[in-house]
Amino acid sequence: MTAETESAQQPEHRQEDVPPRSRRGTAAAWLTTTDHKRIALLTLGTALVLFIVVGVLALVVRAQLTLPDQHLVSNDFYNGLFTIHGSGMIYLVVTPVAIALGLYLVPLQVGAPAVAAPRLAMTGFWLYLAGTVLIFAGFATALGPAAGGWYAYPPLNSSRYLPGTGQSLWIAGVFIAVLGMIFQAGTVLWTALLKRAKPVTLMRMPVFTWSSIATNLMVIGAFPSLLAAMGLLAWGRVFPNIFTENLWNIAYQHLFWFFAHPVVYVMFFPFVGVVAEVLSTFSGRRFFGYRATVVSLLTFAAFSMSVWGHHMFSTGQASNDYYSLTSILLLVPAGVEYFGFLATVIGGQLRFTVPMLFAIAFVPQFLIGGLTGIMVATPVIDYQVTDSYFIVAHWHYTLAAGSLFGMFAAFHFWFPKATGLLLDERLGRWQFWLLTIGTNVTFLPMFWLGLEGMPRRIATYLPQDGFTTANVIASAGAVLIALSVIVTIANVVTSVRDRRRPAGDDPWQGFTLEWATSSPPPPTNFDREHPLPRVPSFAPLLDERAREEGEERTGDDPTEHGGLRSGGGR
Amino acid sequence: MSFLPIFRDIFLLEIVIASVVFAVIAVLLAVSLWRRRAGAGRPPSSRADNMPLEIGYAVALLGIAIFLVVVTANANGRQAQRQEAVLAAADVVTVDVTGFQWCWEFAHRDGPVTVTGACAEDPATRPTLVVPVGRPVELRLTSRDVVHAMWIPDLALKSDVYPDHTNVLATTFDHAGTWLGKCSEFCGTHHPTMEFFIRAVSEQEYQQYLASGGASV
Amino acid sequence: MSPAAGLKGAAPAHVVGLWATLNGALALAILFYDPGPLPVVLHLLGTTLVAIYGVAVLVTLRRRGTGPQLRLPYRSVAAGATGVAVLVLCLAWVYGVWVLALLPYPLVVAVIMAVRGERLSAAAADASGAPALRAPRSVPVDRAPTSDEVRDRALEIHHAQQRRRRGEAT
Ligand code: HEM
Ligand SMILES: [Cu+2]
Ligand SMILES: [Cu+2]
Repeated sequence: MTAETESAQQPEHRQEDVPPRSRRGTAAAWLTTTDHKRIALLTLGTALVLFIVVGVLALVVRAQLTLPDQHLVSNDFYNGLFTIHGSGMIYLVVTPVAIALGLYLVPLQVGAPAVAAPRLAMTGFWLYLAGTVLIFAGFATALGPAAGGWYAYPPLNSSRYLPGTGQSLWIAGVFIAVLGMIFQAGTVLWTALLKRAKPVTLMRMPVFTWSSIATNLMVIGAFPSLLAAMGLLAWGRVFPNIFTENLWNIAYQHLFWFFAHPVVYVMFFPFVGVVAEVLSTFSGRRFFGYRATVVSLLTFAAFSMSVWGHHMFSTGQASNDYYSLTSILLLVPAGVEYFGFLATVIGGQLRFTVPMLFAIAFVPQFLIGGLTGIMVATPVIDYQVTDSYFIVAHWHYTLAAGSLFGMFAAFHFWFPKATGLLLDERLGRWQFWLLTIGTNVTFLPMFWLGLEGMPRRIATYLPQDGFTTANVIASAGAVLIALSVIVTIANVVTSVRDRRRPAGDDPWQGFTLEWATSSPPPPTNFDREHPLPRVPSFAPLLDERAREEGEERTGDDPTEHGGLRSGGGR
Repeated sequence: MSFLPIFRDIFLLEIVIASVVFAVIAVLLAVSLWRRRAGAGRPPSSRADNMPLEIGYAVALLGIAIFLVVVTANANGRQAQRQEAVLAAADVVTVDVTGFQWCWEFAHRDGPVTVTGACAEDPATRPTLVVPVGRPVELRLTSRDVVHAMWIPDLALKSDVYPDHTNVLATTFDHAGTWLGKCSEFCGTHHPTMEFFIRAVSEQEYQQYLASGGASV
Repeated sequence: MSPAAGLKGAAPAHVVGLWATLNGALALAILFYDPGPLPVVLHLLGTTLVAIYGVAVLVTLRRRGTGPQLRLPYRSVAAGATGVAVLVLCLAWVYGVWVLALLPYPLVVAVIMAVRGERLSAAAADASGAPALRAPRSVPVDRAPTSDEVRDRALEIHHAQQRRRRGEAT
């Protein structure tokens, strides 16, 4: 989508590793690219399209649930809808966005000309795309798409109980999509750790880069477990008898949740980084509590590897007290991150741009997800609310009201960088308010539904169950969310088509290195026209500006407050 | 003596804490959004750190976390103890509960009564589990095919139901009544209608029920 | 080099290493809760994976393979071909082994491309000035060099090496 702008604004390049300029804008050039920005944009673009597709599936789910005793779709198709919606959102939308955002930004933020092993990253994209195709191919099979829920427990998901080809395609698709994400994560992590420009020491990396490091460490440690789980399921598709034994059923759950708890933090951390960057940029000040936040991100990530059993409290076959302990302890690093958010805003001078609005809304909304998360980490509460709509509300607050808002903050914040075009501010505000109201109206009533006893994953309910009012409200909210997405599409389409608002290199007065180069950045990120600036701290451009303004402003030199000294670098 | 009281206590405790935390953060955020808006003309601070404050805060958080860990582990322990007390009682009523696609089967060990149903759309096809009031009841849960879960929302009783494994729910019913039970673990096509009723009756009626071979009471 | 300097230089490996250590500790803490072998094994395996990555980081640091990437493949056909090959494998599992008949083509493309097709050949590197140097000498300024500068510098070193190899005086 940005091909023309790019070639139009491209200064001359003499880099030999870059294909000749005439070829750069073609589809073939995009599809065989080794430029981390293009690989990331391919991944992000695919994920955003899929966000809309699997979002539409959720709308059908909501339509079915609006009134009691409705049969718009059959039970089996309903099961297919929520399975593809849920697994699509997790494996194909938010996780890829979380990782590919790092693929786009990390090399820029650490002043590197490229990502390490770009072809591996590109393989990651292709595997992800192939996985998507396999998963959606299920809709074209005789028995329809996979219908076993996003965590696909055996024995239900063995070929005995769900014999459809769609089920097998789904297992294969999830396997390779996640494999692709491991590849991308590995290259990004390698870049952040080893391929930084000389002056960018570890403690001069922006918060987002740190969040990406923590994320990718979890990917490396935990995602292979999903490959093992899918392997086990695949084995059970061929030999369904193994799942008559409890051992394998429980083994699957352990393998699965060992991946699937960390994945929820993979879907969360990069957005903590995004919100930190956006909040501090539009507060006009460096992020408060940088070091504490870095440490807490890393501890948070390490702890998140040992909480998986909290998804198995009701199995009667897990050490509940241990998982409850580790899960509740997570509130410490989470609280420290929140402290940073708030303190940054408290000492800021705020500009309420569209990305800022999304970042601000993230704070209280994700908090609801987090606080209810501590509640469900308490076994005696979880026994009652697990597998009810309370849980559905809980994770939609973390994912839809949290990560999704972080995603849109990132989208509005870096869209100008990636395309050289600003989005429309007015439409952006419409999108924001519709989404905020819609999200809360949709998901808040679900807490109540869960406490009233509505199990999740039920295709319909009866009038006498008493679930009707809350479901009507939830569906009304979903309409608002849909409107908000339509506004977003309109915003992108008109902005890109009309090209009326060139962004310039640094439309927001950003702090980090990506804002020092052109929009979109040149193939190797920094060139003669856009050399890497000095990097005295994790907010180099802020330092630069402060230096230019001179000391006379307040007399307080940023160097005095740890910004320059933090970390081991010279 | 269901698990409802424990659930209620802890839920109330945590919802109060959560509400306070939410309120504090929301108010802080709202106030600073207002005071710190660009129009207010307050220059941004350039402070990057306040280590003593941050460490003190983290320690306070750790204190809260430890408090919650202790409270919840304790509550979980109490709940387990209750179950054990029930199981240890001499006059325990044992029922073998079997989940299958897509309904339930209740086999009473005290009498030759086995109840099952069709769990079709019509609620009349749901089976009923009859138990005596005041005596400890042990439900031994297992499945014939996939994973199900037995859930009685109004009594806060829930446990997963596995093939090749038996989970136990043990409780005592304090008063007579009928409650709706559900399957809460997704188990395939007819998961939504996989419901049952659980009915607590007096000891005398329960004996009649067993003697009559499961005729309705 | 003093040990302290070595430690400082290895900071990235320490990030990974400490992370893996904390994880190992948590995996052992679970033992107090009588979990059965599975969770412990799983936890230790996850930790091991991260530790392996950490060792790889450390080894690379030792071999001074750090700093901005200089030599890039100029296209990624191998990646696409690999994707297709994996897709074919998946379809073979779902629909039967006959699908494997489709495998050779993408596989061969992937292998050929990966082995020699996509990096500049030595001659091309000579002509275009992108030498295959693993460790560019760092440029003593307090900002990162631009790509162009890095390249110019690398070229210089490369030519110097060539001259040395030919036995010319520098
Ligand atoms: C666009 C607005 C959305 C609506 C109206 C919506 C609605 C729903 C509904 C009704 C369910 C079925 C719940 C159940 O029966 O268990 C569901 C499941 C789910 N949703 Fe959403 N959702 C939305 C957005 C999202 C987002 C943004 C995410 C993730 C980022 C997400 C992740 C999930 C997951 C993981 C499931 C579970 C699927 C399963 O049970 O296997 N949803 N959603
Ligand atoms: Cu979890
Ligand atoms: Cu069920």
